[in-house]
Amino acid sequence: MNFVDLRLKIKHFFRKNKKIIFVIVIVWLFIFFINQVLKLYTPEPEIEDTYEPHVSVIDSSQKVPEKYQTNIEDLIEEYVSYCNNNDFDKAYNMLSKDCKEYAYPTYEDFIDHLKIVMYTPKKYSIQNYSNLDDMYIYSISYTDDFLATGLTNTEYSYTEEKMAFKENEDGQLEMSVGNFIKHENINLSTENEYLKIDVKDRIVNYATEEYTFRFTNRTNYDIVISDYVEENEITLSLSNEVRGAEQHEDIVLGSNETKDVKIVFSKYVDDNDSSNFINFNNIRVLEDYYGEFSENTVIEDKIINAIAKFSMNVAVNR
Amino acid sequence: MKKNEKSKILLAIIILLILLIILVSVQGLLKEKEQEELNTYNIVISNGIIETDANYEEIAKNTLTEELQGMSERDRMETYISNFINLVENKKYEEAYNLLYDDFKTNYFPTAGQFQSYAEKYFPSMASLEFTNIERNGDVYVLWVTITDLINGKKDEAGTEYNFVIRENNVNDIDLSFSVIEE
Repeated sequence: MNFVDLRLKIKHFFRKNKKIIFVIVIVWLFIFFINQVLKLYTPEPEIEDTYEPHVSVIDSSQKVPEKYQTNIEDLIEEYVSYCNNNDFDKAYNMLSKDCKEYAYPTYEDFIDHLKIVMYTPKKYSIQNYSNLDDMYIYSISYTDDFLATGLTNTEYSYTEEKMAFKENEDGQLEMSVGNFIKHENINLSTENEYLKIDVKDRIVNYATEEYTFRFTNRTNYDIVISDYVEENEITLSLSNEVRGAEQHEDIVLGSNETKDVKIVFSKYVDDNDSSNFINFNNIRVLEDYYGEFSENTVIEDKIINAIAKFSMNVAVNR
Repeated sequence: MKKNEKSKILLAIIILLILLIILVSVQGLLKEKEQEELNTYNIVISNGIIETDANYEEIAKNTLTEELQGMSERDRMETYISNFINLVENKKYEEAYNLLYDDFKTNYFPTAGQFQSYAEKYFPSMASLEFTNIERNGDVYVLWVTITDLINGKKDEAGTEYNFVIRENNVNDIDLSFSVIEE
């Protein structure tokens, strides 16, 4: 084969496969181009940062949906700005209906709350704490501007409250503050010939549940429900444990008396446990009540001679 | 479309790609050259004082930034404070002053001169740092640091405890403040 033949063969080859060769060249050039561009691109390295304001502290696999994040941030910013600018009435008006009605029924109640957490202008930070189905609970931490002071002549400290956010029927986010989570009507009851107990409602705060009871004495005798003479007079039955009531006033009913009483139990709203029953374990029906300052012997005698002694349980979940 | 026109289009695409590649390659070469120039710096010792040029400072800053990127959060905060004290030890008061948060400067050191006077009086010329605690509140970190004077400090004397407060805007871009000793 001489040079001319070779040249002819190459020319013939290119002419025959012109299209494929063009495509290959274009593709190759394109890849080469992308490669050169990528060489110029140096990605920002990710640095370790533990601050994730919308990731739950209780369960780090949970995150507040992105569609709510900015709204929640804006609501908190607006609320804190109002408080910092002494527009307390505007801040009060941002609260959900239930929060206003059950946590801060009057404007003064709200001011009393602010005096504890943030009466002077404060900086704040937010952290999603826990998420319950349709409700997002945030922990808001208030501090002085310690970046501006360097903590000169002061100790590091902060106040904190839980805020709850929930979408209402109109698709708007409602905000509750001061650890208030929700209010629930219960309207369950239990009764016997001596006593009727109605559980009217429950106020759920982040760390407590407050129940409102109506006790109706059906007799002409005195009925002692709780006066700290016996142990475990009032308890709350959860799925996995039984818990005593927080400190409360003595609950004693006179003849045919009806009385509304609030009783509080410690219970975290995000503990994955449910409140099932409230137990009144040592109800005593007496001829007449021995009184607060009676001697032990008198008390014992009265109890031994009680008209009736019994316990009653009332469901608090339908 | 006629055969001739198709060939022209394909040829135009090839030429365009070649031009783009040349452009990108030239950019890459320029970037490499810039990096090479940056890697050269001068250190001059004049009257016993070490003077470095801008390239040296830039390289030092880039090196620090790279180191910080590989660190944990706590280590980064401690490094920022160490770096700040280091600047004070080396009498680079202006640089140290520029790390301070604006409101903090307004409150305690409205001028760099005032900061220098404070630093000369209260920060040791050679310091040992002991980090005893760290807390985070949102995007702000509070550290408890005991600073001991290695040269003039007495043997059994505990150092001075400071609070340092840091907000990291980006790697090696911070606002810093500390608890000031007021007389």
